[in-house]
Amino acid sequence: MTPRLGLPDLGIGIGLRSAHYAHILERRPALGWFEIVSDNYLEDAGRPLELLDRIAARYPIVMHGVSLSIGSTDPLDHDYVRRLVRLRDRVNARWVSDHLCWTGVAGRNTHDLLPVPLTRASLRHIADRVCAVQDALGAPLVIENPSTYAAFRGDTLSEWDFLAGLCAATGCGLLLDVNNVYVSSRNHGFDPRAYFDGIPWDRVVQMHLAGHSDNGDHCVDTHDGPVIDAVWQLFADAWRRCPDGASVLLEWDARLPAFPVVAAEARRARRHMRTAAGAVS
Amino acid sequence: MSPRRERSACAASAPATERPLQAAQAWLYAAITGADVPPDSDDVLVAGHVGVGTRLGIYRHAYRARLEECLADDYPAVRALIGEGRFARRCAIAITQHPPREPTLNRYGRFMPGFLQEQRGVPAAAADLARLEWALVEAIHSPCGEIVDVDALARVQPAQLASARFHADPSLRVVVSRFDVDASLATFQRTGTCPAPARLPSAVAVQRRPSGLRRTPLAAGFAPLLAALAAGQPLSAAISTIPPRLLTQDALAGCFRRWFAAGFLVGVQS
Repeated sequence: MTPRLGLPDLGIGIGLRSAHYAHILERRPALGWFEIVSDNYLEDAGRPLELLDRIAARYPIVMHGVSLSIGSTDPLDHDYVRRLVRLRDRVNARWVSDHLCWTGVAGRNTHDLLPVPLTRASLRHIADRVCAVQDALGAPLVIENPSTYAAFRGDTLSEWDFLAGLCAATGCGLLLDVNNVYVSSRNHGFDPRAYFDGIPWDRVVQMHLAGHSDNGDHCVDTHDGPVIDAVWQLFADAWRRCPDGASVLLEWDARLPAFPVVAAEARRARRHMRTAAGAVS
Repeated sequence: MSPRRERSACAASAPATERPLQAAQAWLYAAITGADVPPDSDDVLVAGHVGVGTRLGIYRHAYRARLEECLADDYPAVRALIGEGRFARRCAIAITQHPPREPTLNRYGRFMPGFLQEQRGVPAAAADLARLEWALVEAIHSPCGEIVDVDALARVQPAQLASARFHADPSLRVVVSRFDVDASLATFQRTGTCPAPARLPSAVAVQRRPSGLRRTPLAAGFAPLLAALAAGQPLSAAISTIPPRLLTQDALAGCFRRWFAAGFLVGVQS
């Protein structure tokens, strides 16, 4: 299979946040790419979209959504998908991603990434919807593993088996959020390396790194600080398992520092990539 | 057997994922957005080393915090006017009454002016201040006006004037209030403190220009005319919104000159 489903390796990027618009446009920092939260730009006009146009003229853009609600039992929101396609075409986004989750039901939206029941029935349901979205995109959808805090008693699959099944059934790509693997492993008590053993690495298009809050017996994916050492170690392990590489992105949302601080944290990934490469050789 | 045990036994006989998927999602939605954690939570979710109440609590907190943050972002001056604590309590009520239904939160806060108007114990001016802040949100997500055609009106034949419709800057919003909410907002933006708006009729035009958001005070008596024209009413109908005592040719001509020059009106269709 073609590495990364034929999608480019964009190097190291940062999640685009409005507080950094001015710095990016004025200083033009050297950086591989930006990932946008698609939902913030699903308008037909406006200041955020105009600024995005200017940034997209200078940097590769990837779209990362939070409201596709691919696991919901509500009908797929085709208008939302059409708006994704329009935005993708407008900013020449290299790919479109969202989460293995659902965000609402019965027409109501929590705007949170809620855990899907990990069963065969759920897998069939989500696979059908992924295929429908991919038909609309004319390209693979890239699915991210979310941080989860709850699991259903009736679950019959691990999350990694579920994702492997989803990739096999649909041809979708994977956005491996290393921090989310760590957070979920702490919350549910699994070994992150078992997770890594189970996913199809040839489908990993992109990796996410981020900080989280550690509350002792559980963690919350808060994106409010630097990446912790344990997540960097997992990242190095992931990088070793990903021989063709992947685009790597740092997310930082809350308590957002100045752009150079975020960029410096993202660039730390390079050192861990080198460490991983050394271990492989 | 207590009612709680009865419910638990029922849930245990049909674990979440053996129920239809939709029922499992409806259950979790209710558990996150409802007033209390459901009594059958331990029968539906896995506890492990962390209690189910804690697990659900993460989602329950995130749901409310995210929406409150969204409202605080849209209405910072209202929040400063009524105080953080009272704002948070009103948000909690508002979120229950207005659960989000759209995939993006860009327009979630649109209900807030009407909601505040119905709230006892909130200053009467808060709803009007919220209208002004919402106009700013809408303007941010609107296109800027096209090139202003200041001579357009002069080309309209007198016989066609009554039926003429005007094109307004698509970002234009007209906010009319019994209070001087624009002055309070200006003070808030300068100092971070929002004084109670004076009881003084006011009107302000909000629009987005390439340089940023712009607020322009309007003569209160003529503001409804601009609002009616921006809404697409023909001149003859729009003009009925202003008091007859203000209807002088000079006053009207002055308004149109200013409105075209400011880019509120950008063209005319006769």
